[in-house]
Amino acid sequence: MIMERDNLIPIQEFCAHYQVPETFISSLNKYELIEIITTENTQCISVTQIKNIEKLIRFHFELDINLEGIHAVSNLLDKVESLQSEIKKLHNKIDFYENK
Amino acid sequence: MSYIDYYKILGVPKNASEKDIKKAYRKLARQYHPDLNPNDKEAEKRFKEINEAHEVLSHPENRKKYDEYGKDWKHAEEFEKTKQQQYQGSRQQQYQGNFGESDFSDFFESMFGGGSRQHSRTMFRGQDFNAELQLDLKDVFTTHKSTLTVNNKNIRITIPAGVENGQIIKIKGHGGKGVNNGPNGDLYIKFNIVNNTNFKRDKENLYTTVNLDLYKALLGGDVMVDTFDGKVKLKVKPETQNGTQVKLKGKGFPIYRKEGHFGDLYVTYNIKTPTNLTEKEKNLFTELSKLR
Repeated sequence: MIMERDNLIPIQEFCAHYQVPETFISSLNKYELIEIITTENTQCISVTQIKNIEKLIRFHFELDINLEGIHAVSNLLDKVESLQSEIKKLHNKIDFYENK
Repeated sequence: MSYIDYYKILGVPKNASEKDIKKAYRKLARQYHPDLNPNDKEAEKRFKEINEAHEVLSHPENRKKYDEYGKDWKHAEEFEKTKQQQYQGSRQQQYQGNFGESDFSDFFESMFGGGSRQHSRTMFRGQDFNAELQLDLKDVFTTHKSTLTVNNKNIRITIPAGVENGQIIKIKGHGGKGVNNGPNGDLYIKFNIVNNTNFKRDKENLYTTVNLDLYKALLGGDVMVDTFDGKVKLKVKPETQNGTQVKLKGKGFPIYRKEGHFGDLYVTYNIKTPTNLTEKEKNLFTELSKLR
């Protein structure tokens, strides 16, 4: 059941769907890697988080990275992505001045 | 198409156990997995090789076939016919999210066909597609619609005015089809914007240079200036210095996702001093110089 109005998916359903234990999702929340929303006494996740959670599932179940590792990796990936975006902006600036 | 040594790719001997293969795969996957190497094409390529090697060596049937026919892959088809229906191997969660048909080598396709990796029980989003779109700066001055062909499908998209060079926009659900009823992936379009105009762009602001003759710079006057969407008349103040910059508010580039809002146009004056002076002019300038 997807709560269309709020775009929320109950954790129980998500876990059954992806065949992951609910404790895994709780742990991700504990490490502040995802946000759990409680509505009508049901713990849910937002659909906007699915892509990220899929990635975290791959880290843990495919790459065998423990939760502490996932926490560290996620922080570093955020930095990598922010640096890549900064580089892109700087490239645009360089193009601007070089072609002046 | 040439033979691929999957054992070499995973760095394991030919008699490696399933456990050793899994261990080697995980070690390499942690190094090259696309989730851990965003926007790194080399890592992605390397990971595809690793994934393919694992796909073959981690399934006993595939491994047996590869060991028997690997170097002689051209004769594998006959083997495939007899074994095809027997293959029922279940698959653990694998990185499939961003992989499509072309992500396995011709060698793999020749030996195992496209069907050997359809056994996952887990639902996954379809692969995300990446496309690049080259546009002229003029094209992104106004919001317009454009039709793209991605994987033989025509997709009509709206390109908002003011999109940046290198900017990536996501078209939700237009990527690959989901696996086992999973949601479709997304389409990411990167814009490469070529600037063939006389304007330099920095986000929403535009910059241009206008030549002024010495007399207009000294005495002031009007000058017609090209803006991105037409000409405007600009008043030049008397005694304008070379390199003076004036701002034309709202004459810059559209601000992304802010309909009707524009940046500014910065005009820099480049004062041209006269050349090939006549004797009379030289004398007049000499006289002028004596007054200062």
